[in-house]
Amino acid sequence: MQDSLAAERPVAPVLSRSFPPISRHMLALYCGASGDHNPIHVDLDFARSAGFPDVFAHGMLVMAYLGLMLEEAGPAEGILEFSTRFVAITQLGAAITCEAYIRDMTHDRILLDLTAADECGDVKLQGRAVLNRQIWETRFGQA
Amino acid sequence: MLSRDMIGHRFAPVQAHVEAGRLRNFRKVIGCAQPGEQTAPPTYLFALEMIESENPMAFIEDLGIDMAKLLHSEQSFTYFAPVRAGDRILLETVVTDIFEKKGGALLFVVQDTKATNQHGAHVATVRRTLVIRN
Repeated sequence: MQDSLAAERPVAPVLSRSFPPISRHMLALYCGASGDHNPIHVDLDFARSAGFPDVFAHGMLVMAYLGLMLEEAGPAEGILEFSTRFVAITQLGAAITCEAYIRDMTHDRILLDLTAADECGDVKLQGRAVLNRQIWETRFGQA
Repeated sequence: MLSRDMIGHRFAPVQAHVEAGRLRNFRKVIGCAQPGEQTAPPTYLFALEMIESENPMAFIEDLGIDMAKLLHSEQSFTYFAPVRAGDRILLETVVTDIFEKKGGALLFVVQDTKATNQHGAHVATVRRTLVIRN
């Protein structure tokens, strides 16, 4: 009996990128760079009043990490779609690793499954990207 | 209280300038080794709307959403053409769906943004799904 999860996904990611632990400083920098000034990410008092023990990362910061992994592998022009679900809150101090797995290929598209997980392996973002196969195929070697 | 009556609500359009310095800063902050790239990073249109909006929180304030109860549920980008430094991008956002889960404990709001460049080309559609914890 084949493991259904293993059957769904190849064992090795085709792309992988790790990021340093997310600090308060990083959240302040991202707040400025992204224009997302929601205080829940930078103001401890606000976060506590909203019922959280501490500030936490912008989901879009972690999605930007996934985007950077893609950009470092191939041209942004070849990315046709890029989507994520924010599965869990990314806590302060989380060291995020992004991975991409090939889910499917058609004659002109490559479909990737994406994950961003912390150092414990807890998945924070789950996503997918659709790439232009002509532009991207050579980036994955024998894939 | 936010209701389904707000489906179809159009937010004030945002006319945004894709500035090279802003792009560079965004890339530097997320750890990109080559921040001078002139094409916008994949998630940049989301940031651009907030950077250039008269009121970056209009997307929740128009709907009377309490920021302290807000979380981001899903985000997607569909690209039709690249966005580059120097472009002028019109961002037009509309509420496309509002629905409940868990007996009303969670309220989801879907907003679609159409991005059009200075040549009138539809460059991307951006969809954000927000969740409000009641």
